Amino acid sequence: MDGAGLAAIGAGLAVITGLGAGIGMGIATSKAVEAVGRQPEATNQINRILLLGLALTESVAIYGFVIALLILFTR
Amino acid sequence: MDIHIEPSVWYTIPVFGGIPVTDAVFVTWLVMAILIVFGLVVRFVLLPKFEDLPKGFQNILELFVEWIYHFCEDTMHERGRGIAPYIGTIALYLALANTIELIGLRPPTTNLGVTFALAIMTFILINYYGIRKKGVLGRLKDFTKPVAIMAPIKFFSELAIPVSMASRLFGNILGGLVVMEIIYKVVPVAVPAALAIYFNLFDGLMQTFIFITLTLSFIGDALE
Repeated sequence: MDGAGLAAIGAGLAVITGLGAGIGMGIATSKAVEAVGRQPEATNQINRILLLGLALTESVAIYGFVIALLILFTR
Repeated sequence: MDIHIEPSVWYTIPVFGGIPVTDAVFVTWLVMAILIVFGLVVRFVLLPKFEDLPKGFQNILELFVEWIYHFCEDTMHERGRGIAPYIGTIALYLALANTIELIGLRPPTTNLGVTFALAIMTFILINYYGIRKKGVLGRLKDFTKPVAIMAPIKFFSELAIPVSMASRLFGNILGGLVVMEIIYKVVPVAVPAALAIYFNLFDGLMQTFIFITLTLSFIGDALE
């Protein structure tokens, strides 16, 4: 069971990708809210584009999660 | 805490030194049985009773079919109607497979093999449509489209498409599974039912929508 400590540290470092994803999603939502405030009739369109963009940006954080799982469980 | 992330093997086919059959295969069979029985019942029992002015259940079915055709034509413009049955099948399978944790079974998309198979099907479709429209040389020349220097970067980003689609689906559904397992251990009574609406139902349906949107987007890009 050598290396279990290093694997845990590696898994913790891998999930730091969530930081970038969180900042990006916050900026995207703020721009979307601004756009809705500017033109409320386009709310449906903006809603759809925002959800699509958020789900794609979240996948960057998910990559970090998958790598952390790989590090922890396949040694 | 005994949450096991890796898929559990239920049965081993005793051929070539044992081929492990995981729980994802059995749950996929259950999803297939549900969809096939539903299709047969609609076709042979409900379809002769359809009227010109739909109401009730017929309305819901027509809504879904029209939405799939409309969505494919929006994103893929002219070949949309040809690929709509495949997209509808994938949408139904993923919608059922991602949310089957509400019954208590482990979703088959938490197995990296299942999501990778679906992503490879998308990859094959992208290249098939691209090569059918432009030929092999035309498809390779697409990589030098904006600037010729970017060709290696575009080539590797094409290879990254199935990997990213597989990891996105796998990671989201597995993340929902792990969080729900932890909540079951901590507060087993009323809270999981409320949180399962977000983690299993909304997340699962959102991921199927993302998967089919990305499939259509990439195929549409390859046809330009």
